Amino acid sequence: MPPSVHRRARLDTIGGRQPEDVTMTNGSGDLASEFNERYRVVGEPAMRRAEIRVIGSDYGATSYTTRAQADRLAGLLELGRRKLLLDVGSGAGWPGIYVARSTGCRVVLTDLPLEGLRIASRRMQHEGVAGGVVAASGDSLPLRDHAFDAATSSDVLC
Amino acid sequence: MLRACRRVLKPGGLISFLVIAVADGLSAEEADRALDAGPEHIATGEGYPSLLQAAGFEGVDVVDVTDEYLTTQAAWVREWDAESFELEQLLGVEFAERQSRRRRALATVQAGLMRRYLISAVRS
Repeated sequence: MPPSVHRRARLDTIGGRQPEDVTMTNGSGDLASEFNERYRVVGEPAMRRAEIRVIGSDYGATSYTTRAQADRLAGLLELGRRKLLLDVGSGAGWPGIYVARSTGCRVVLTDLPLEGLRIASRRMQHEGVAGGVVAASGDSLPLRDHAFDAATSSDVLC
Repeated sequence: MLRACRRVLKPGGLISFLVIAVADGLSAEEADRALDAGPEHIATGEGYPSLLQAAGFEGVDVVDVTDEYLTTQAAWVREWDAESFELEQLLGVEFAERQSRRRRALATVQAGLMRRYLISAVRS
């Protein structure tokens, strides 16, 4: 069985709303559908090789955030153990999971395309990164007030 | 989105994000060209410092990372071309469409119409 997109046990510690609220925002829009389709090919060898050569990631990203920029974000956000990071518009987990793994912080990833979040959830489990994923729009976060030490996003805000 | 982030951040919490934006001071025609060629999420040129301050952040710092963006955008075009045989089989017509869009975006950045910024601030 694939991992649940909403990992309730952990997210209950940071979210004040019920998971039903989250699943209602699970990306029914055209853009979410388009990105869901794009995640279909994540992990294919040619996609993976290009991604590694361009940005130094193998998370299934097609963004412009390089590994050096991810490291820079981690420094700017002063991340470390006992810190909780929010990554808005996280896609399949780049750079949020990478930053959490490299700094030891916990991370919550939010985005609309469910397929990307499923990939991210599996990657978090595989890498032993603590936190969770939430299907939600960045302007309506079903998360508790004052829960996070830091927040980030890559080419999402507008 | 910035207000939502402020709500869930602790007081003194940090925000740092990357954003692609239309360059300042463009004609309407140039701005349209940038918006058309840009990625799915491109900002419309509003000043982020004022947006952040209005949303309840302070100590805003903006770093222009357009040169790195240009390098990365060019690398995506080059490396997808290098993998074109497999990617065309995998993606079909989408391969050519995405490469075409990347090339238009690259030209737009090279023409100075689109920029990328690393922006940081503190939740007040």
